[in-house]
Amino acid sequence: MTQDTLTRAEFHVLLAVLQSPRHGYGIMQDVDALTAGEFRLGPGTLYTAIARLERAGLLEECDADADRRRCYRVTRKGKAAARKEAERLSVVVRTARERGLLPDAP
Amino acid sequence: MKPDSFYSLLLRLYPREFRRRYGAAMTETFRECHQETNQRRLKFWLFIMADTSRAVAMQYVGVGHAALRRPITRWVLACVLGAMCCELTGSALTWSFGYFYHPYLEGLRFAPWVYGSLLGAGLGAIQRLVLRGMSPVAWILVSAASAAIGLEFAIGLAPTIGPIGYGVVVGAMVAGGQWFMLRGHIQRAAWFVATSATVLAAVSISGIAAMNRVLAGLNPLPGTLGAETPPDGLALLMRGLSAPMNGTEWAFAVATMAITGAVVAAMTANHASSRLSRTP
Repeated sequence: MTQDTLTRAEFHVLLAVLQSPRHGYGIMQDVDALTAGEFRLGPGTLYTAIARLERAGLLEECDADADRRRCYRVTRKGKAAARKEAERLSVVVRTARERGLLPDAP
Repeated sequence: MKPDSFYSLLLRLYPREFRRRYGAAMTETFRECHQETNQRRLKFWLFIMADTSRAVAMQYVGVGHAALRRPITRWVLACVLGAMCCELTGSALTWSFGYFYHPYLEGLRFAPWVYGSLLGAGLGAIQRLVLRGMSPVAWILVSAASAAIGLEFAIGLAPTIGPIGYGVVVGAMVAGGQWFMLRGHIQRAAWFVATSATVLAAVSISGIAAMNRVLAGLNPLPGTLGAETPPDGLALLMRGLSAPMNGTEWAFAVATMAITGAVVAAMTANHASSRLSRTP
C-alpha cells in the first residue's frame, strides 16, 4: 500500500477482523452490521481490499474454518494501522463538533 | 445459466494473478451472498455488477501503477514519447515557420543535419529520463550528434540506397552513437545496434510518409525521397498523405510514430535494461 491512510473498505475490513478471524462472507456481514447497512461490500470490493491489506502486511490468512472457508486475521502492523486511522477519524469528528457541524457528544 | 456460472464469467474480467489467488474465495462469498440475500433479484444483480465494475477498474489501475514502476515499461514510454514529441515539435516549428514567412526567406532550407540533431536531441532527452547513471548532457549530445551525422549521410545516399537504406543508415548511426555510451554496461551490444538500426529504419520510413504533409515546411527530403518519386512499397501510403491533412491522417501519423517508438523500445529494452533506473 503506497498511501498512508486506509480506504474506507480497508478500514472496515480491519475492524471486522479485529477481535477474531473471519471468512469473506463473515467480513461482509460484519461491515453491514457495523454500518447499519449504510456501507455494503460486494465480493469484488472486499477481495480487492483484502489483497491490498495482505500485500501491505496488515492482514494475513489463517486456518480455514469448519466449512473449509478461507479466514483472515489482523496482524500487529494491521492493528497499529487501524488505530492510527481511528485516531485520524476521531480528530476529524472532534473538529466537526467544534465547528458546530455535529452535536456535542452526550 | 446458474448464478455461480455467470459470476465465474464475471471473474474473467479481473487480472489473471488476482483471479488465481482470490477467484475461488470470491465465488464462495458470492454464493453465500446470493443464497442469503433478501433483496429483489434485479437489485441484487445491479449491486453485483456495480461492485464488479468498480473492483475490476481498481485492479487494473493497480496493475498499471505496478507496470509503471517496471524499468522496461518506463523505457518503452520514453521511446514512444520521444518519437511523438520529435514529430510534434517538428510540426510546431513548421507552423511557426509558415506563420512568420517572409519573401526574403524564399527557398531557405535547413541542412539535413539540423533535422537530425532535433530528432536525436529530442529522443535522447526523453530516453535520458529513465536511464540511470548516465550523464544527461553527454547522452543527449551523443544522440543528437549521431542522428545529425546519420541524417546528413542518409540524405546524400538516399537517391542510391532508397528509403529503406536511408532508414537503416539513420538507425545505425543513432544506435551506434548510443551504443558507444552504453558499451560495457549492456550484454550483446552488437544486437543492440542491429535491432535499433532495423527499427529506427521503420521509424524513419514512416516519418518520411508523415513528413510529406505534416512537416512539409521542414521536410529536407523532397526531391530525394519525396512524393515525386515514391517507392512502390510506399506509394499507396504517400498518396494517402498527399491530400491536405485531416484529423484521421494526423492521428495516423502520430500513431505510426508511437507504434514504431514502442517497437524500438521493445526491441532494445533487454539490452539497455541494465542501465535503466529502478525508481521513479
